[in-house]
Amino acid sequence: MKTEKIDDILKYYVPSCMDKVVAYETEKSLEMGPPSEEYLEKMNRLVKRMRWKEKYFIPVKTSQRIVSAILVFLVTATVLTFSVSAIRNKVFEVIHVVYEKYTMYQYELQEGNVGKFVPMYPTYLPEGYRERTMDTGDNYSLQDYYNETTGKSIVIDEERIEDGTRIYEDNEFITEEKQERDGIEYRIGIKEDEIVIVWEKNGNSIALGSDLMDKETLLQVAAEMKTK
Amino acid sequence: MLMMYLSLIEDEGDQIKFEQIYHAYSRLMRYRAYQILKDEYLAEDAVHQAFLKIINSLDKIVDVKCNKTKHFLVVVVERVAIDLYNKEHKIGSVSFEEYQEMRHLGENEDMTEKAGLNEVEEIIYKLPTPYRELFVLKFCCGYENKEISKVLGIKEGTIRQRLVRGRKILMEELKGAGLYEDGKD
Repeated sequence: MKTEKIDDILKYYVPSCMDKVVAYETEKSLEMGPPSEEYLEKMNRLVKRMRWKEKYFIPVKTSQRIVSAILVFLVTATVLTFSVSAIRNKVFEVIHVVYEKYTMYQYELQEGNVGKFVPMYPTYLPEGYRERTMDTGDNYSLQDYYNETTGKSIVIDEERIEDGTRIYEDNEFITEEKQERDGIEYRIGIKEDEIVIVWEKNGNSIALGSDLMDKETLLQVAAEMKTK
Repeated sequence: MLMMYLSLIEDEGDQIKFEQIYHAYSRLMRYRAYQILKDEYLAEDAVHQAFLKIINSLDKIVDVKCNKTKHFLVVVVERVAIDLYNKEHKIGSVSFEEYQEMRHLGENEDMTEKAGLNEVEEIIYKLPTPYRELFVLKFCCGYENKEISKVLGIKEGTIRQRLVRGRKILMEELKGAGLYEDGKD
């Protein structure tokens, strides 16, 4: 052992050390009491949001699927965005990677400040839709509007774009199109029973998903979202 | 259909990766955070914040159940907990030297005996946290400096410096214990 290079020591002993420590701590953690209701509620909301995001944008349920993903191309683009709360402009480099099943957009902040997250809310909703869930965190907002009569819902997930933010989009839509309204590009994906619209505004990435199969109505909801 | 999906209680096989990680490790993460913060509510906050950080690293987690994943999660929650500790103790901008003094926060238990560490492992475990967390991410998780920089929110240059310094400290400690000699490799 004495003559091994320091990196060889690190490669061997760091994992063995941490395996033992984590095994011990895992056992000790079983002695802990239950967490607070508030924590459970917060974590459940986070899990629920991630379920929704994975359903539409991270179609990766198993590790095998990541491993088998095929990198088609990689492009970078510089995007200038403005925040409603920040005076300074923000410049992001967006790494755009297309895999077999999904596309990843990774944002890397080049200059400026991401500013404070200011969520937007729909000012127009089709008849019969009422708020069912409103979960707003420091940098995200999940809104769910539900129509009791039809059983259909409109779910809106908003996220502040920060350094390192990754947005995933499903590549498995039956049809895809882009529409521009008031200078904003809306990417629309249509599946058999769901429509997803994705766009960026005020430094946020917004995704609207619904089983209401009416593209024009959903686009109107998207276009008429505003800050309070 | 959409809401049915959201309200489904699925079995483990259908759980999304994020959910699997939450169910498998949130208790361990809460324990780790509590060891640093000594406050259950703050520990819960740390776990929640750690999970928000993990969202952007989900694709790096290939196998939920492997030790590599555990180590990564422990490092993330540990870092969040230390930041929270600093905030709670009004340490606005803690210097690196001050930060090092916190290295044994929550590590007052005799891990050598309890976890069965050998001499070398004990020296590694007792390294200051800023060095140990880098070694864990690099040598347990296989991360490049750029990835570590994203996970910990530290500049790449600082990471390089700390890795050099950490190796030096480790070498000195090992030498001091008679476990390492120069020039024979």
